[in-house]
Order: sequence, then C-alpha cells, then structure tokens
Amino acid sequence: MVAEQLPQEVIQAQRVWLSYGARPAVAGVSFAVRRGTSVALVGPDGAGKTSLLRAAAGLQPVHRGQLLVFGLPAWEERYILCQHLGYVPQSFALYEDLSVDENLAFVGQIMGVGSWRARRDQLLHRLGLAPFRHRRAQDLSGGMKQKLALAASLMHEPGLLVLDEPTTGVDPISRREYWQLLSEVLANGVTVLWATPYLDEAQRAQEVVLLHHGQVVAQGEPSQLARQSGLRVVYLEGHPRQALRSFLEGYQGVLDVQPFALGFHVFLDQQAPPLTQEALAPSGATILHLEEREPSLEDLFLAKIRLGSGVTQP
Amino acid sequence: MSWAVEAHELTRSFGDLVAVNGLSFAVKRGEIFGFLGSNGAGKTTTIRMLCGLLRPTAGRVMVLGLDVASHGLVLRQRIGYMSQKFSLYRDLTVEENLLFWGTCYGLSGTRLDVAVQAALEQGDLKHVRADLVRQLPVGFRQRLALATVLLHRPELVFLDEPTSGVDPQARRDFWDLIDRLSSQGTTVLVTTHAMDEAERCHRVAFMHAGRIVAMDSVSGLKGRIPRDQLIAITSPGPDRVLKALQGQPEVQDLALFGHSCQVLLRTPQDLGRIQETLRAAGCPFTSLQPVAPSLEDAFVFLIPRPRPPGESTP
Repeated sequence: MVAEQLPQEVIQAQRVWLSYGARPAVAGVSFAVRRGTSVALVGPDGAGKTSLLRAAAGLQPVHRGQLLVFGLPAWEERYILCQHLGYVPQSFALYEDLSVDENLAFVGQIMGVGSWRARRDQLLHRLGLAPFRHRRAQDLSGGMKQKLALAASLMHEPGLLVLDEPTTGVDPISRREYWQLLSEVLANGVTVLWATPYLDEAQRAQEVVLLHHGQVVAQGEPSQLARQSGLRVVYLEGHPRQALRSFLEGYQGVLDVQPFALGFHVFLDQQAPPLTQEALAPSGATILHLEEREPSLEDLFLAKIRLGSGVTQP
Repeated sequence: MSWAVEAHELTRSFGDLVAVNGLSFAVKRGEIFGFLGSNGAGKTTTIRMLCGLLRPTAGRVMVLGLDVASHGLVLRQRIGYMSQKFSLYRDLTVEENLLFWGTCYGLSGTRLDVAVQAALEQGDLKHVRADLVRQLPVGFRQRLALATVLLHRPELVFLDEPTSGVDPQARRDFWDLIDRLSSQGTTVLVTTHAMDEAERCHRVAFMHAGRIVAMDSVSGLKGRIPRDQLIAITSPGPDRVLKALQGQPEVQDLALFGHSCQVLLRTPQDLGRIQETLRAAGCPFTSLQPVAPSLEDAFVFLIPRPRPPGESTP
C-alpha cells in the first residue's frame, strides 16, 4: 500500500459489537485511530480490550457494526490487511526454542520479506537485541521478550501495530525502554493501537478509550479528559484522621473520599465550595497537608463508574 | 517507636549471586510500606527472609520484636501472606475457603465461626458466600484472598502485587480495607512494580540489584528530581523533537507523551543545551515546561543505569 493512498483514519470502529455466547464482550464501541498516532484502549480485565484488538487484527469478525482498517473491512479483507499490520498478542507470539535470530528469520521468511536479513539486523540493532541474538527466546527476561515480539511484528514494515498489553508484568525500567522504542516507531510514521490495564501508562497515548464491561466510559485526549469532566481532586492529610474523614464525607459536593498514602483523595464536583483551611475548621482536625491535584485517568474512570452522573460527560 | 520490622545488614546469596545485599531498614507498626523494584531486584527474597522461609546468609531481622532466626514458627502464626496468584480453592465456595484456611491457622468452634462471619462482613462477601470461587470476578477473589489471610488476625501482612488486573472500583475498595487495617495497627508490606499501588503506600523503598536505592514517602521520592530536569516539549512536530534529541549526551530518558515529547535530562543545566540542539536542528517548539514527576519518573531517575549487560530474570 502506498502511503499517499492511505486514508487519514487507519482504524474506524463504528458501533462495534462482539459476543461470546449470549454475553457481549464489546457492546457498541466506536473510535477512530488517525494515521501516525497512538490510541490506547484502557480498562481492567474483562473490559473488552483484547476482543477489539483481535477484531482489528482480523482474527475475529464483528457481530454488529463496522470495523474498517486502512478503509477495508477488517475481517473480510484480513488476508490483504495482515501484510500491512503487525499484531503482538498478550502471550508472546515467539518460538521459545528458537534463538532471537531464528525467530526473526522465521517471521521474515513467512511474511515474504525479500531482504529479511538486512531488516533483521537493523531491528536487532535498533531494539538493542544484537548482543542476545544467539540466545533462545525462553532464556530472555520479560522485557527482552517484549522487545523481540515487537521486532518480529515490525519485520514486514507494517503501517499499523496492534499491541495487546505490551507492558503488563514488565518491570518499570524495561517498560521505560519499551516506551522509548515505541516512540521511535511512532516518529517513523507507524500507527499504534494498544491495550493496557494501567491507567497511568495510558496518559502516554495521544487518545484514550476507557472501557468498562465492553462499553466506552470516556474517550479523548488524556490531558483534556479529566479537565473537561469537571472532576476536582484534593489531597488532604490531617489528624485525627477518622474525624477528618467523617467530616469530608458529609461535605457539600464531595463525591468520594479515598484513603491515599497518609491522607485522602477527595473527589469534588464542580459545585463544591473550595476545601480551604477555614472550611475544614469545623472538623476539629489539624490539617497537615492540603493540595489540589490534577485528576488522573484513574480518578476519572472511578468517578464515572462509581458515581455515574457525578461528573459531566465530555 | 514500636517497630514491626527491623532489618540489619540483611544479606542472602545463592551461589555467586548476591540476591539481597546488606539491607537495613525499619517499618513502623501500622505503616503501609512498599517495596518497588524491577524483576530480580531482591523483593521476593527479602520478603521470604522476613517470613522466616529463607535463612539470611548474613545480617539479622527482627519481626514484631522477635528474632526471625529463632522464632520463625511462632511468628508465622502472627503474620499473613497474600500471594499474587491468590491461594484459593477454585472448586470450593467462598465460605468453604474461609473455613478451610481458618482451620489451617488453628481456629475451631466458635472462634472459627466468628472469624469467618467477620471476614465475610469485612470483605463485603456475604452475598457471595455460597458461590464457587471460580465463578467470581477477580475483584471478589482478591478480597477473599485478603480475607483468608486476615482470619487469624495477623499483626503483619505481606501483599504481593495485590491489585494488578482488577478494576479501579475494586482497587479503591481494596485499599479502603488496607487503610482500615493500618489504622487498627496492622502493618502492611506491599511488594509491587505497579506504580499506582506504590503511590498508596505511606513509605516506599526503591530496590535495585539487592539494595535499597532510596526510601521515603512518595512525595519525598518525587521531590528528588530537581526542577528543570524533567521537561515536556510541546511542538507542532513532536516526532521531529524526538529524532533531534535521540542519542544526545544530555538526555537520560526520552519518549513521546500524548502530543508532547517528555525528556529527562542528566542535569538541570542541560536545559539550555537541548534548546540549542533543537534550534540547530531547525526543530520548532512552542514551549519547554517542567513536568510534575510521576513515581515512575522518580524510579527511573534514582535507579542506576545502564543495567549490566546480559541482565536476566529468574
């Protein structure tokens, strides 16, 4: 596929339904992924992330709605599309008994990459795998396996990467290295759709789709989402702690009080009067720390699923 | 000060490998204390020594005022351990699991009944008491796993990545319970590499290569990154910024972050230099702003890098 011919939206999902038996895993989800951007599907286990990714990779048909990849229906045109997309499932698509080199050679050959040796060496070098090229996949650390799986998915130079929880169970340093690599991939114009259960990590994406029980809870730019929701979060520390908590739970406009480290995260709606030292005086508690915090995606997600209408839908 | 754990120069070797190397730390009673580290950092080895399951090669550890070396068995009655995999019987009901574990911990008759009822109550599990564990969502299984660990009213609880994979609502409720335990004087030790879990601890120790690299409150750890060293660069072409800064000696960490590019500098003085680099590369940028660091930023900043070549994970 020539880049100029590609549609601006690499993936278009419109009211997609996916079911296993009677229970829908995905119920009417719509989202789009623009070329060269990264979009994260975010949610806990069972939210429908993997089902959507599999459908986008042409591994299962959608039951209702439409899912277009590069402008083509993902399931019907899967044999064409698989030449243009790389998919890394959650359990590694690696041959444990083969070496790093052999894994990449194998994938390169079955994908019909003409100059697979050159491509392999280039990826080994770029992903820092060259020193381990003769090591068997099963002897690699979790972070290295992830890099190898990424390398394998990039062998045929796809325009779209579909990554299912690429950093789950990977330690923080390896996770960082992985994001550096993925940034490079993005900077080279590849579009990335990925799933993660980590809401903090999702902030790295240009757009997020928060999923819960197969439905969209919120979607948009991560930095804007929480702001637009009208949710306010205040971190408070004070003694006696229980007195402070009871007071907060009865305070006007408080949506939730969550223990957080030595204090509490207090969720407030837009109408709540400011939580100042004076406003807190009737609690009788000594306030040790009071700080308004930017709501995180996790805060927003929680506010949405726990409180429903408590915050506005962006 | 009453200490729940006091470790002095705790060391454990396996052959030539020093898994834990001269660890000294103390945890207060009622404290929620987190160990955060990469795979192979020594977290599990440390916990196993604290539980008396593994004998230190050198050093000493006191738990609840007793020397673990000589009081291991007595101590095991006073501590609880919740593993990541939840030690539950999937073919037994919720109540049967509690009865089984209660009996294992030496409870019987009225004491057992009272403990099981209290556990059902505390874990909000009464309505699923007769359900088979394998039919329960992961959030319930996690609360049950915690409830089984608490039946014998331990004074110290170890939790291994307790909330990975559960939804934000379940995580919120779980930490509410942990907070209650802590306010009642139970000490909680959490090992994790998930930042959102570590953020909720009163204090966190960063572990790397068998040593504690830093130990402080979460805000204390974040505060170790000097201002002007973690920068968000907004630009019409963040991918160009990424390419221009790649491999620059001033750059410690670099990745795309939403619509901006985030860079961790080696020193705050490097800010001027990267501005020059960007200008020299003809790379336009709208702003360079210091970013409030995340706990992961603090971790990446404080952990010595690069890692030794040939790193591997057991």
